[in-house]
Amino acid sequence: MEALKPDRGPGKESMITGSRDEILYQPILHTGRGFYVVFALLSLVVLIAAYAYFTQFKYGLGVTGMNSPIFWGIYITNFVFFIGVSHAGTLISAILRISKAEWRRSITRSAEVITVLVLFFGLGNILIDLGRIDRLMKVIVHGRFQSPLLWDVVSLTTYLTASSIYLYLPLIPDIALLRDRMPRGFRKYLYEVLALGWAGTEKQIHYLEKGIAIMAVTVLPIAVSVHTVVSYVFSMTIQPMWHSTIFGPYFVAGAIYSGIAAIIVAMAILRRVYHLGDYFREVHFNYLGILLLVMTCLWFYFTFSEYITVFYGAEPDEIKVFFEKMTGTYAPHFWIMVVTCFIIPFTILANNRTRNIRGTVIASISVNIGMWLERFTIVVPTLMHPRLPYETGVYSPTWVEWSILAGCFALFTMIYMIFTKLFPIVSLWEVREGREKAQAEVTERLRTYLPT
Amino acid sequence: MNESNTATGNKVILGCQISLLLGFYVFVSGVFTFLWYAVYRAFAEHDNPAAHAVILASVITFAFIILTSVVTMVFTTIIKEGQRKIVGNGGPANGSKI
Repeated sequence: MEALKPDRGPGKESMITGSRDEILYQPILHTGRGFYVVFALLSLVVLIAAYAYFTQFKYGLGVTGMNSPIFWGIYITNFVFFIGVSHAGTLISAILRISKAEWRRSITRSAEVITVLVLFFGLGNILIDLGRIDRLMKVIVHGRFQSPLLWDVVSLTTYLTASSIYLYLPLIPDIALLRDRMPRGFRKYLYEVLALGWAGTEKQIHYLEKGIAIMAVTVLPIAVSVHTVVSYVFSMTIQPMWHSTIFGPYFVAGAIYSGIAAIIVAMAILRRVYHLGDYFREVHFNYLGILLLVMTCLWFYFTFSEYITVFYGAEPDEIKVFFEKMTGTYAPHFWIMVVTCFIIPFTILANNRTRNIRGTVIASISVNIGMWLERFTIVVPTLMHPRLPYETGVYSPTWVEWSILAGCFALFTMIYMIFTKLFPIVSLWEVREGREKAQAEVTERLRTYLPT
Repeated sequence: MNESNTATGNKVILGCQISLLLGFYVFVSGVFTFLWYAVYRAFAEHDNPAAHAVILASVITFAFIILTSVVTMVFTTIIKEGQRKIVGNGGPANGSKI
């Protein structure tokens, strides 16, 4: 319980300035030149993306590679990909919290931040895909609930709200620590407001822990339902290779898969940049690597089931899309996806010797590339061969779409960097609580059954 | 003079904290309005499939009630206790009740 108490008073001051967790405050208290250089480079990418967006806004969606019948492209691919990655934090963090996995303590915050941020980018890509952003109001005023698109709007709003609360609640004790540390100024004022007057009393601790526990349970079904609903956008149509009952679980499994990969990449970068080797240890990468291995096998199982069913059924419209992916225009995308989503991660992670930090990071980068391609190969080839007798088309994204894609990743990285400058990226009180618990457990073990 | 400034500062901070909570309530009210307006249209104007609207609105309303309850419980408890602590420490109390 001491872990949840803020460092008020002179006696506690050393807990921040001289404690072993001091390194967690360094990114907040000091900003090096490297930060500004990276920030400036990313800003440049974002500016190019902004220019691309204004070009699209001015001239319409005609400046993209989308056409009839391929009316969905990179933006919808991004939407599905980002929503998938969002399962990183909330779902993984909630599962680990509920199962009381002690090793979770230092990784949950970095994962929860990913969730909240990428959700904005998922939703943002839908707005970009709308072409005219003012049409958003029509969804709200004239939205019809028989459309799975509106189910998405509703479920994503719920998920974003729940994820934000789930990120904020465990932040409160850490914000209070910062409030007590900061000299007068805007940031202290910000922390004073956001800390809600946290003083670490028994009652506050009790209600905060209760709130976090309720949120951990609530957020799980919401997260699962969100990606299921995202899959319904495709599977509720009768388009070839979309109209599949397996799409719900297939999308959820893919989401968790890309989510775990995203956490590993983020942890590796934070570990390197902020020297957090003590918090993101080999054991964390190893455990997450094992989880990633399980999801690799699950992803392969779902993908195999999906494609073998279509191949064996050989329904004419479906088989056209099937061969478009296997041997046609989108064969490179499909086979790179197989290599990056299965062969590379499985080879690395199934071997104890290669399942180290470097190995899991390489596997995770590979998985993220593969999962983006998987979303692409789901969205585009089907639209190329629609069930209705339209002309077929080919989709080649233009510089506008590539720029916006790059801008999304750059802006995400920038906001993530800003977050690390405002709040501890490792949950300080949870780490402290973990230490206290571990010490208490060892003491109890010594006292009860080991000779002293 | 300093005490008076601190008291004013505490009041402003408390005001911001309550505004955060009220802002959340406004957002949730907006979501409820959107959902139940769709249900109203489904029945009154026959503009929306009723079963879809009612089922979705009910499920999402339930989820938002849970979220609102958690936020209310945590916010009010922490803010109240924080204010009590300020009074207990002999600091300036703004006397606000949440």
